[in-house]
Amino acid sequence: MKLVRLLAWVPAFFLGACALEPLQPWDRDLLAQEQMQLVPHPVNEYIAEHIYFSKEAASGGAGVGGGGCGCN
Amino acid sequence: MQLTGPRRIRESLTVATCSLLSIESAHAGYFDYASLWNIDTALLLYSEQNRVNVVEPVLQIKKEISEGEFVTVKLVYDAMSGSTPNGAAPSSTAQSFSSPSGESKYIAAAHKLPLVAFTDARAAVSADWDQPLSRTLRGQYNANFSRETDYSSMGASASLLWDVNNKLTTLTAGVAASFDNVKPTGGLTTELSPTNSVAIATNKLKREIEDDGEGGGSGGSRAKNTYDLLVGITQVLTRRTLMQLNYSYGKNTGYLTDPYKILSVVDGSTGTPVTSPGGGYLYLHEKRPDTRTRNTLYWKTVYHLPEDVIHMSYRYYRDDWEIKSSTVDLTYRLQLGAHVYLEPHYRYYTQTAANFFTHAIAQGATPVNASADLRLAALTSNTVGLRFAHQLDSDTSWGLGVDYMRQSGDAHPANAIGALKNEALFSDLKTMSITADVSMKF
Repeated sequence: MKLVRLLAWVPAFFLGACALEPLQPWDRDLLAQEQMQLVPHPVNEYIAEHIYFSKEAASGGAGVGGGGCGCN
Repeated sequence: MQLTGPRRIRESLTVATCSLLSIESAHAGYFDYASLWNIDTALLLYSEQNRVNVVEPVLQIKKEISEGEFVTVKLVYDAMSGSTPNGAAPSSTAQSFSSPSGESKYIAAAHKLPLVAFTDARAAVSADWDQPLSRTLRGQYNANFSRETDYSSMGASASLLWDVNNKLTTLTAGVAASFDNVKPTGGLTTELSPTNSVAIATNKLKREIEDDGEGGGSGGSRAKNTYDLLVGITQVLTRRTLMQLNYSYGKNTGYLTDPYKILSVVDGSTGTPVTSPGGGYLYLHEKRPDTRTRNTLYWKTVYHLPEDVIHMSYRYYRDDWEIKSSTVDLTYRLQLGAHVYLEPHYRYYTQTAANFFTHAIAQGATPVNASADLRLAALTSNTVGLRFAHQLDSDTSWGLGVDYMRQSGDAHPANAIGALKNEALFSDLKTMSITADVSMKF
Protein backbone atom coordinates (compact mmCIF):
# COMPACT_ATOMS: atom_id res chain seq x y z
CA MET A 1 0.00 0.00 0.00
CA LYS A 2 2.91 2.30 0.73
CA LEU A 3 4.12 1.76 -2.82
CA VAL A 4 0.65 2.51 -4.23
CA ARG A 5 0.44 5.75 -2.23
CA LEU A 6 3.91 6.70 -3.45
CA LEU A 7 2.97 5.96 -7.05
CA ALA A 8 -0.13 8.13 -6.72
CA TRP A 9 2.11 11.17 -6.33
CA VAL A 10 3.98 10.48 -9.55
CA PRO A 11 1.42 11.66 -12.15
CA ALA A 12 0.65 14.69 -9.98
CA PHE A 13 4.32 15.61 -10.01
CA PHE A 14 4.76 15.26 -13.77
CA LEU A 15 1.49 17.03 -14.54
CA GLY A 16 2.75 19.84 -12.36
CA ALA A 17 5.93 19.90 -14.45
CA CYS A 18 3.84 20.54 -17.57
CA ALA A 19 2.65 23.79 -16.04
CA LEU A 20 6.21 25.11 -15.97
CA GLU A 21 7.37 27.77 -18.40
CA PRO A 22 7.81 26.10 -21.80
CA LEU A 23 11.45 25.54 -22.65
CA GLN A 24 12.47 27.07 -25.96
CA PRO A 25 14.90 25.32 -28.33
CA TRP A 26 17.61 27.87 -27.51
CA ASP A 27 17.24 26.96 -23.85
CA ARG A 28 18.38 23.41 -24.47
CA ASP A 29 22.08 24.19 -24.62
CA LEU A 30 22.87 22.65 -21.24
CA LEU A 31 20.60 19.68 -21.78
CA ALA A 32 22.51 18.82 -24.96
CA GLN A 33 25.80 18.45 -23.09
CA GLU A 34 27.24 15.00 -22.58
CA GLN A 35 27.22 15.38 -18.79
CA MET A 36 23.46 16.06 -18.83
CA GLN A 37 22.65 12.71 -20.44
CA LEU A 38 20.97 10.18 -18.17
CA VAL A 39 23.90 7.84 -18.80
CA PRO A 40 26.91 9.96 -19.79
CA HIS A 41 29.39 7.04 -19.91
CA PRO A 42 27.59 3.86 -21.01
CA VAL A 43 30.66 1.61 -20.89
CA ASN A 44 31.61 2.68 -17.36
CA GLU A 45 27.99 2.29 -16.32
CA TYR A 46 27.89 -1.22 -17.79
CA ILE A 47 30.99 -2.20 -15.81
CA ALA A 48 29.64 -0.82 -12.53
CA GLU A 49 26.24 -2.45 -12.96
CA HIS A 50 27.88 -5.77 -13.79
CA ILE A 51 29.75 -5.66 -10.47
CA TYR A 52 26.63 -4.79 -8.47
CA PHE A 53 24.61 -7.44 -10.31
CA SER A 54 27.09 -10.14 -9.32
CA LYS A 55 27.21 -9.12 -5.64
CA GLU A 56 23.66 -8.09 -4.78
CA ALA A 57 20.17 -9.61 -4.97
CA ALA A 58 18.45 -6.58 -6.52
CA SER A 59 19.21 -5.37 -10.02
CA GLY A 60 17.83 -3.39 -12.96
CA GLY A 61 15.50 -0.42 -12.98
CA ALA A 62 17.29 1.98 -15.32
CA GLY A 63 16.36 0.12 -18.49
CA VAL A 64 15.60 -3.22 -20.08
CA GLY A 65 17.94 -5.72 -21.66
CA GLY A 66 21.61 -6.14 -21.10
CA GLY A 67 22.93 -9.62 -20.79
CA GLY A 68 22.95 -12.73 -18.65
CA CYS A 69 25.68 -13.86 -16.33
CA GLY A 70 26.33 -16.95 -14.23
CA CYS A 71 28.14 -14.74 -11.74
CA ASN A 72 29.75 -17.36 -9.55
CA MET B 1 5.56 52.59 -49.61
CA GLN B 2 2.82 50.03 -49.94
CA LEU B 3 4.47 48.62 -53.07
CA THR B 4 8.05 48.57 -51.87
CA GLY B 5 7.38 47.23 -48.33
CA PRO B 6 6.57 43.61 -49.28
CA ARG B 7 9.42 43.55 -51.77
CA ARG B 8 11.90 44.57 -49.06
CA ILE B 9 10.52 41.96 -46.76
CA ARG B 10 10.80 39.36 -49.53
CA GLU B 11 14.39 40.38 -50.19
CA SER B 12 15.22 40.30 -46.50
CA LEU B 13 13.67 36.85 -46.17
CA THR B 14 15.62 35.62 -49.18
CA VAL B 15 18.87 36.87 -47.68
CA ALA B 16 18.00 35.38 -44.30
CA THR B 17 17.05 32.02 -45.85
CA CYS B 18 20.26 31.86 -47.84
CA SER B 19 22.25 32.74 -44.74
CA LEU B 20 20.55 30.01 -42.73
CA LEU B 21 21.06 27.47 -45.48
CA SER B 22 24.73 28.32 -45.68
CA ILE B 23 25.03 28.00 -41.90
CA GLU B 24 23.23 24.65 -42.03
CA SER B 25 25.52 23.52 -44.81
CA ALA B 26 28.62 24.46 -42.86
CA HIS B 27 27.17 22.85 -39.74
CA ALA B 28 26.52 19.62 -41.58
CA GLY B 29 30.04 19.64 -42.93
CA TYR B 30 31.65 20.13 -39.54
CA PHE B 31 29.45 17.69 -37.65
CA ASP B 32 29.29 15.02 -40.30
CA TYR B 33 28.43 12.32 -37.80
CA ALA B 34 27.72 9.83 -40.55
CA SER B 35 31.44 9.65 -41.21
CA LEU B 36 32.44 9.22 -37.56
CA TRP B 37 33.13 6.06 -35.66
CA ASN B 38 32.79 6.31 -31.90
CA ILE B 39 35.08 3.93 -30.10
CA ASP B 40 34.75 3.53 -26.34
CA THR B 41 37.09 1.20 -24.55
CA ALA B 42 37.57 0.43 -20.89
CA LEU B 43 39.59 -1.93 -18.77
CA LEU B 44 38.39 -3.01 -15.34
CA LEU B 45 40.71 -4.42 -12.72
CA TYR B 46 38.54 -5.71 -9.90
CA SER B 47 39.79 -7.23 -6.69
CA GLU B 48 38.06 -8.52 -3.58
CA GLN B 49 40.09 -8.83 -0.42
CA ASN B 50 41.03 -12.55 -0.14
CA ARG B 51 38.43 -13.51 -2.72
CA VAL B 52 37.72 -12.92 -6.40
CA ASN B 53 39.84 -11.06 -8.96
CA VAL B 54 38.48 -10.00 -12.34
CA VAL B 55 40.06 -8.45 -15.40
CA GLU B 56 37.45 -7.12 -17.82
CA PRO B 57 38.23 -5.34 -21.08
CA VAL B 58 35.27 -3.75 -22.90
CA LEU B 59 35.17 -2.44 -26.46
CA GLN B 60 32.17 -0.52 -27.79
CA ILE B 61 31.88 0.67 -31.36
CA LYS B 62 29.09 3.07 -32.35
CA LYS B 63 28.30 4.36 -35.79
CA GLU B 64 25.63 6.69 -37.10
CA ILE B 65 24.52 4.92 -40.23
CA SER B 66 21.99 7.54 -41.30
CA GLU B 67 20.65 10.72 -39.74
CA GLY B 68 19.61 9.88 -36.19
CA GLU B 69 20.07 6.15 -36.70
CA PHE B 70 22.80 4.43 -34.70
CA VAL B 71 24.24 0.94 -34.54
CA THR B 72 26.34 -0.06 -31.53
CA VAL B 73 28.32 -3.24 -30.98
CA LYS B 74 29.85 -4.10 -27.63
CA LEU B 75 32.39 -6.82 -26.88
CA VAL B 76 33.22 -7.86 -23.31
CA TYR B 77 35.61 -10.40 -21.91
CA ASP B 78 35.88 -11.36 -18.22
CA ALA B 79 38.71 -13.37 -16.73
CA MET B 80 37.84 -14.39 -13.17
CA SER B 81 39.84 -16.20 -10.53
CA GLY B 82 40.09 -16.46 -6.77
CA SER B 83 37.85 -17.82 -4.05
CA THR B 84 34.19 -17.48 -3.23
CA PRO B 85 32.10 -18.71 -0.27
CA ASN B 86 30.71 -22.18 -0.97
CA GLY B 87 27.75 -21.67 1.40
CA ALA B 88 28.88 -23.92 4.26
CA ALA B 89 28.84 -22.28 7.68
CA PRO B 90 32.03 -21.74 9.71
CA SER B 91 32.63 -24.31 12.41
CA SER B 92 34.69 -24.67 15.56
CA THR B 93 36.59 -27.43 13.78
CA ALA B 94 38.27 -27.53 10.38
CA GLN B 95 36.08 -28.65 7.50
CA SER B 96 37.28 -30.67 4.55
CA PHE B 97 35.73 -30.63 1.12
CA SER B 98 37.19 -33.21 -1.19
CA SER B 99 36.52 -35.08 -4.36
CA PRO B 100 35.71 -38.78 -4.17
CA SER B 101 38.70 -39.49 -6.36
CA GLY B 102 40.87 -37.45 -4.04
CA GLU B 103 42.21 -35.47 -6.99
CA SER B 104 41.56 -32.21 -5.28
CA LYS B 105 40.41 -31.01 -1.93
CA TYR B 106 40.56 -27.98 0.23
CA ILE B 107 40.21 -27.34 3.92
CA ALA B 108 38.45 -24.50 5.63
CA ALA B 109 40.18 -23.69 8.91
CA ALA B 110 38.20 -23.63 12.15
CA HIS B 111 36.07 -20.48 12.56
CA LYS B 112 36.74 -19.46 8.94
CA LEU B 113 34.08 -18.99 6.27
CA PRO B 114 34.66 -21.87 3.80
CA LEU B 115 35.85 -20.53 0.46
CA VAL B 116 36.37 -22.47 -2.73
CA ALA B 117 38.91 -21.55 -5.40
CA PHE B 118 37.83 -21.21 -9.01
CA THR B 119 38.71 -19.78 -12.37
CA ASP B 120 36.30 -18.89 -15.14
CA ALA B 121 36.04 -16.76 -18.25
CA ARG B 122 33.12 -15.03 -19.92
CA ALA B 123 32.78 -13.58 -23.38
CA ALA B 124 29.81 -11.41 -24.30
CA VAL B 125 28.68 -9.57 -27.41
CA SER B 126 25.74 -7.23 -27.76
CA ALA B 127 24.33 -5.18 -30.61
CA ASP B 128 22.05 -2.15 -30.36
CA TRP B 129 20.06 -0.46 -33.09
CA ASP B 130 18.59 2.96 -32.38
CA GLN B 131 16.21 4.01 -35.12
CA PRO B 132 13.95 7.07 -35.59
CA LEU B 133 10.47 5.87 -36.57
CA SER B 134 8.94 9.31 -36.97
CA ARG B 135 9.62 12.88 -35.86
CA THR B 136 8.65 12.00 -32.30
CA LEU B 137 9.04 8.22 -32.10
CA ARG B 138 12.19 6.16 -31.73
CA GLY B 139 12.77 2.43 -31.60
CA GLN B 140 15.69 0.91 -29.71
CA TYR B 141 16.50 -2.76 -30.17
CA ASN B 142 19.14 -4.92 -28.54
CA ALA B 143 20.39 -8.46 -28.97
CA ASN B 144 23.00 -10.00 -26.70
CA PHE B 145 24.82 -13.25 -26.25
CA SER B 146 27.27 -14.39 -23.62
CA ARG B 147 29.05 -17.60 -22.83
CA GLU B 148 30.93 -18.94 -19.83
CA THR B 149 32.33 -22.40 -19.23
CA ASP B 150 29.13 -23.49 -17.55
CA TYR B 151 26.60 -20.81 -18.51
CA SER B 152 25.25 -19.27 -21.69
CA SER B 153 22.76 -16.48 -22.22
CA MET B 154 20.89 -15.21 -25.26
CA GLY B 155 18.64 -12.19 -24.94
CA ALA B 156 16.84 -9.46 -26.84
CA SER B 157 14.99 -6.28 -25.97
CA ALA B 158 12.94 -3.63 -27.73
CA SER B 159 11.95 -0.16 -26.50
CA LEU B 160 9.78 2.58 -27.92
CA LEU B 161 10.48 6.20 -26.98
CA TRP B 162 7.78 8.75 -27.70
CA ASP B 163 8.51 12.48 -27.43
CA VAL B 164 5.49 14.56 -26.43
CA ASN B 165 4.82 17.96 -24.88
CA ASN B 166 7.08 19.82 -27.30
CA LYS B 167 9.79 17.20 -26.70
CA LEU B 168 9.97 18.06 -23.03
CA THR B 169 8.53 14.69 -22.10
CA THR B 170 9.61 11.27 -23.34
CA LEU B 171 7.44 8.24 -22.67
CA THR B 172 9.22 4.90 -22.77
CA ALA B 173 7.94 1.33 -23.02
CA GLY B 174 10.26 -1.63 -23.26
CA VAL B 175 10.25 -5.42 -23.22
CA ALA B 176 13.15 -7.83 -22.80
CA ALA B 177 13.61 -11.57 -22.72
CA SER B 178 16.66 -13.65 -21.93
CA PHE B 179 17.05 -17.38 -22.39
CA ASP B 180 19.90 -18.77 -20.33
CA ASN B 181 21.32 -22.22 -20.00
CA VAL B 182 23.03 -23.50 -16.85
CA LYS B 183 25.39 -26.40 -17.41
CA PRO B 184 27.32 -27.03 -14.20
CA THR B 185 30.79 -28.42 -14.55
CA GLY B 186 30.68 -32.02 -13.40
CA GLY B 187 26.96 -32.32 -14.08
CA LEU B 188 23.72 -31.21 -12.52
CA THR B 189 23.15 -32.04 -8.90
CA THR B 190 19.90 -32.86 -7.15
CA GLU B 191 18.74 -29.91 -5.10
CA LEU B 192 18.79 -30.48 -1.33
CA SER B 193 20.60 -33.80 -1.79
CA PRO B 194 23.75 -34.61 0.27
CA THR B 195 27.04 -33.48 -1.16
CA ASN B 196 29.23 -35.93 0.71
CA SER B 197 30.58 -37.18 -2.59
CA VAL B 198 30.97 -33.81 -4.22
CA ALA B 199 34.24 -32.68 -5.75
CA ILE B 200 35.24 -29.06 -5.80
CA ALA B 201 38.40 -28.69 -7.83
CA THR B 202 40.61 -25.67 -7.84
CA ASN B 203 40.51 -25.36 -11.60
CA LYS B 204 36.83 -24.49 -11.51
CA LEU B 205 33.91 -25.04 -9.19
CA LYS B 206 34.11 -28.56 -10.49
CA ARG B 207 31.85 -31.23 -9.08
CA GLU B 208 32.17 -34.92 -9.57
CA ILE B 209 29.10 -36.61 -8.25
CA GLU B 210 29.45 -40.12 -6.99
CA ASP B 211 26.52 -42.17 -8.12
CA ASP B 212 25.14 -43.02 -4.72
CA GLY B 213 21.52 -42.93 -5.81
CA GLU B 214 20.92 -39.59 -4.16
CA GLY B 215 23.32 -37.12 -5.59
CA GLY B 216 22.39 -37.24 -9.27
CA GLY B 217 25.32 -36.08 -11.36
CA SER B 218 24.30 -37.42 -14.73
CA GLY B 219 25.36 -34.20 -16.50
CA GLY B 220 22.99 -32.12 -18.56
CA SER B 221 21.74 -28.56 -18.34
CA ARG B 222 18.76 -26.56 -17.17
CA ALA B 223 17.00 -23.56 -18.61
CA LYS B 224 16.57 -20.22 -16.89
CA ASN B 225 14.42 -17.55 -18.54
CA THR B 226 14.07 -13.88 -17.70
CA TYR B 227 11.31 -11.54 -18.88
CA ASP B 228 11.11 -7.80 -18.22
CA LEU B 229 8.61 -5.03 -18.93
CA LEU B 230 9.40 -1.36 -18.37
CA VAL B 231 7.41 1.83 -18.60
CA GLY B 232 9.03 5.16 -17.95
CA ILE B 233 8.79 8.89 -18.29
CA THR B 234 11.62 11.35 -18.76
CA GLN B 235 10.81 15.00 -18.14
CA VAL B 236 12.77 18.17 -18.82
CA LEU B 237 11.78 20.23 -15.82
CA THR B 238 13.89 23.31 -16.41
CA ARG B 239 16.83 24.35 -18.54
CA ARG B 240 19.02 22.75 -15.88
CA THR B 241 16.96 19.80 -14.67
CA LEU B 242 16.16 16.45 -16.19
CA MET B 243 14.17 13.79 -14.38
CA GLN B 244 13.40 10.17 -15.13
CA LEU B 245 11.01 7.73 -13.51
CA ASN B 246 10.76 4.06 -14.49
CA TYR B 247 8.67 1.19 -13.28
CA SER B 248 9.70 -2.30 -14.28
CA TYR B 249 8.20 -5.70 -13.75
CA GLY B 250 10.28 -8.81 -14.21
CA LYS B 251 9.90 -12.52 -13.94
CA ASN B 252 12.49 -15.29 -13.77
CA THR B 253 11.51 -18.88 -14.37
CA GLY B 254 13.36 -22.18 -14.45
CA TYR B 255 16.54 -23.23 -12.70
CA LEU B 256 17.34 -20.29 -10.40
CA THR B 257 19.48 -22.36 -8.02
CA ASP B 258 23.21 -21.76 -7.86
CA PRO B 259 24.50 -25.27 -8.62
CA TYR B 260 27.73 -24.70 -6.70
CA LYS B 261 26.32 -23.46 -3.40
CA ILE B 262 25.88 -25.85 -0.49
CA LEU B 263 24.54 -25.67 3.08
CA SER B 264 25.78 -27.13 6.35
CA VAL B 265 23.50 -29.51 8.22
CA VAL B 266 23.79 -28.97 11.98
CA ASP B 267 22.27 -30.40 15.11
CA GLY B 268 19.03 -28.50 15.77
CA SER B 269 19.90 -27.69 19.39
CA THR B 270 23.69 -27.62 19.66
CA GLY B 271 24.44 -26.18 16.22
CA THR B 272 27.37 -28.54 15.75
CA PRO B 273 27.92 -30.07 12.30
CA VAL B 274 26.21 -33.38 11.62
CA THR B 275 28.43 -36.19 10.46
CA SER B 276 27.69 -37.74 7.10
CA PRO B 277 27.27 -41.52 6.88
CA GLY B 278 30.03 -41.51 4.26
CA GLY B 279 32.45 -39.67 6.56
CA GLY B 280 33.08 -35.99 7.08
CA TYR B 281 30.35 -33.48 7.71
CA LEU B 282 26.97 -33.45 6.01
CA TYR B 283 26.19 -30.75 3.46
CA LEU B 284 23.24 -30.32 1.11
CA HIS B 285 23.03 -28.67 -2.29
CA GLU B 286 20.98 -25.51 -2.11
CA LYS B 287 17.54 -25.09 -3.68
CA ARG B 288 15.78 -21.88 -4.73
CA PRO B 289 12.20 -21.43 -5.96
CA ASP B 290 11.78 -21.88 -9.70
CA THR B 291 10.05 -18.53 -10.19
CA ARG B 292 10.86 -15.03 -9.07
CA THR B 293 8.72 -11.95 -9.65
CA ARG B 294 10.42 -8.56 -9.38
CA ASN B 295 9.08 -5.00 -9.14
CA THR B 296 11.35 -1.99 -9.44
CA LEU B 297 10.79 1.71 -9.17
CA TYR B 298 13.68 3.85 -10.40
CA TRP B 299 14.02 7.62 -10.17
CA LYS B 300 16.85 9.71 -11.49
CA THR B 301 17.53 13.43 -11.61
CA VAL B 302 20.31 15.27 -13.38
CA TYR B 303 20.87 18.86 -12.33
CA HIS B 304 23.25 21.36 -13.91
CA LEU B 305 24.80 23.81 -11.49
CA PRO B 306 26.55 26.87 -12.99
CA GLU B 307 29.56 24.70 -13.85
CA ASP B 308 29.15 21.28 -12.24
CA VAL B 309 26.55 18.57 -12.71
CA ILE B 310 24.87 16.31 -10.14
CA HIS B 311 23.44 12.89 -10.92
CA MET B 312 21.13 11.47 -8.23
CA SER B 313 19.14 8.26 -8.34
CA TYR B 314 17.02 6.14 -6.07
CA ARG B 315 15.81 2.61 -6.72
CA TYR B 316 13.25 0.67 -4.75
CA TYR B 317 13.16 -3.04 -5.46
CA ARG B 318 11.08 -5.88 -4.11
CA ASP B 319 10.42 -9.42 -5.20
CA ASP B 320 8.37 -12.40 -4.11
CA TRP B 321 11.40 -13.94 -2.41
CA GLU B 322 10.67 -11.14 0.08
CA ILE B 323 13.83 -9.27 -0.80
CA LYS B 324 13.33 -5.53 -0.48
CA SER B 325 16.07 -3.18 -1.44
CA SER B 326 16.86 0.52 -1.63
CA THR B 327 19.70 2.06 -3.57
CA VAL B 328 20.84 5.66 -3.51
CA ASP B 329 23.47 6.80 -5.99
CA LEU B 330 25.13 10.22 -6.13
CA THR B 331 27.68 11.42 -8.65
CA TYR B 332 29.05 14.94 -8.68
CA ARG B 333 30.87 16.13 -11.77
CA LEU B 334 33.31 18.76 -10.61
CA GLN B 335 34.50 20.77 -13.59
CA LEU B 336 38.13 21.70 -12.95
CA GLY B 337 38.64 23.43 -16.26
CA ALA B 338 37.31 23.46 -19.78
CA HIS B 339 38.65 19.97 -20.48
CA VAL B 340 39.24 18.36 -17.10
CA TYR B 341 36.84 17.15 -14.44
CA LEU B 342 36.65 15.01 -11.31
CA GLU B 343 33.70 12.78 -10.44
CA PRO B 344 33.30 11.81 -6.78
CA HIS B 345 30.74 9.04 -6.41
CA TYR B 346 28.81 7.57 -3.48
CA ARG B 347 26.39 4.68 -3.50
CA TYR B 348 24.36 3.21 -0.68
CA TYR B 349 22.65 -0.15 -1.09
CA THR B 350 20.64 -2.20 1.35
CA GLN B 351 18.57 -5.36 1.06
CA THR B 352 16.56 -7.66 3.27
CA ALA B 353 17.13 -11.42 3.19
CA ALA B 354 15.36 -13.87 0.91
CA ASN B 355 12.71 -15.79 2.83
CA PHE B 356 14.55 -19.08 2.24
CA PHE B 357 17.97 -17.77 3.21
CA THR B 358 19.54 -19.61 6.13
CA HIS B 359 23.10 -20.01 7.37
CA ALA B 360 22.57 -23.71 8.03
CA ILE B 361 19.87 -26.40 8.04
CA ALA B 362 18.82 -28.07 11.28
CA GLN B 363 18.98 -31.85 11.02
CA GLY B 364 15.58 -33.34 10.25
CA ALA B 365 14.04 -30.00 9.35
CA THR B 366 14.99 -29.55 5.71
CA PRO B 367 12.84 -26.76 4.23
CA VAL B 368 11.30 -26.71 0.75
CA ASN B 369 13.84 -24.12 -0.39
CA ALA B 370 17.12 -23.17 1.24
CA SER B 371 20.21 -21.20 0.34
CA ALA B 372 23.15 -19.93 2.35
CA ASP B 373 24.37 -17.70 -0.49
CA LEU B 374 25.39 -14.53 1.34
CA ARG B 375 24.17 -12.45 -1.62
CA LEU B 376 20.66 -13.42 -0.48
CA ALA B 377 21.32 -12.38 3.13
CA ALA B 378 20.33 -9.05 4.66
CA LEU B 379 23.22 -6.76 3.81
CA THR B 380 24.31 -3.19 3.29
CA SER B 381 26.88 -1.87 0.83
CA ASN B 382 28.66 1.45 0.77
CA THR B 383 30.63 2.43 -2.29
CA VAL B 384 32.84 5.48 -2.65
CA GLY B 385 34.64 6.33 -5.86
CA LEU B 386 36.54 9.00 -7.70
CA ARG B 387 37.06 9.37 -11.44
CA PHE B 388 39.35 11.77 -13.21
CA ALA B 389 38.70 12.54 -16.88
CA HIS B 390 40.51 14.64 -19.45
CA GLN B 391 39.32 15.74 -22.89
CA LEU B 392 42.48 15.74 -25.00
CA ASP B 393 40.84 17.23 -28.08
CA SER B 394 37.40 17.28 -29.67
CA ASP B 395 37.70 13.60 -30.62
CA THR B 396 39.63 12.00 -27.78
CA SER B 397 39.16 11.71 -24.05
CA TRP B 398 40.34 9.39 -21.30
CA GLY B 399 39.45 8.70 -17.71
CA LEU B 400 40.67 6.81 -14.69
CA GLY B 401 38.39 5.80 -11.84
CA VAL B 402 38.75 4.01 -8.52
CA ASP B 403 35.86 2.58 -6.50
CA TYR B 404 35.94 1.00 -3.07
CA MET B 405 32.96 -1.03 -1.88
CA ARG B 406 32.33 -2.52 1.52
CA GLN B 407 29.48 -4.97 1.96
CA SER B 408 28.42 -5.72 5.53
CA GLY B 409 25.90 -8.04 7.09
CA ASP B 410 24.90 -9.50 10.43
CA ALA B 411 27.71 -11.83 11.48
CA HIS B 412 25.85 -12.97 14.61
CA PRO B 413 22.13 -13.18 13.82
CA ALA B 414 19.82 -13.80 16.74
CA ASN B 415 18.31 -16.89 15.11
CA ALA B 416 21.65 -18.70 14.71
CA ILE B 417 21.49 -22.24 16.03
CA GLY B 418 23.53 -23.16 19.13
CA ALA B 419 27.28 -23.10 18.50
CA LEU B 420 26.79 -21.09 15.32
CA LYS B 421 26.14 -18.07 17.54
CA ASN B 422 29.88 -18.12 18.27
CA GLU B 423 30.88 -18.05 14.61
CA ALA B 424 31.12 -15.03 12.31
CA LEU B 425 28.45 -16.10 9.83
CA PHE B 426 28.82 -13.04 7.61
CA SER B 427 32.25 -11.93 6.59
CA ASP B 428 32.44 -8.37 5.26
CA LEU B 429 33.31 -8.10 1.59
CA LYS B 430 35.74 -5.38 0.55
CA THR B 431 36.30 -4.71 -3.13
CA MET B 432 38.47 -2.36 -5.12
CA SER B 433 37.78 -1.51 -8.77
CA ILE B 434 40.08 0.42 -11.06
CA THR B 435 38.62 1.41 -14.41
CA ALA B 436 40.58 3.07 -17.20
CA ASP B 437 38.64 4.29 -20.22
CA VAL B 438 39.43 5.90 -23.55
CA SER B 439 36.93 7.38 -26.03
CA MET B 440 37.79 8.25 -29.60
CA LYS B 441 36.00 9.54 -32.67
CA PHE B 442 37.40 9.17 -36.15
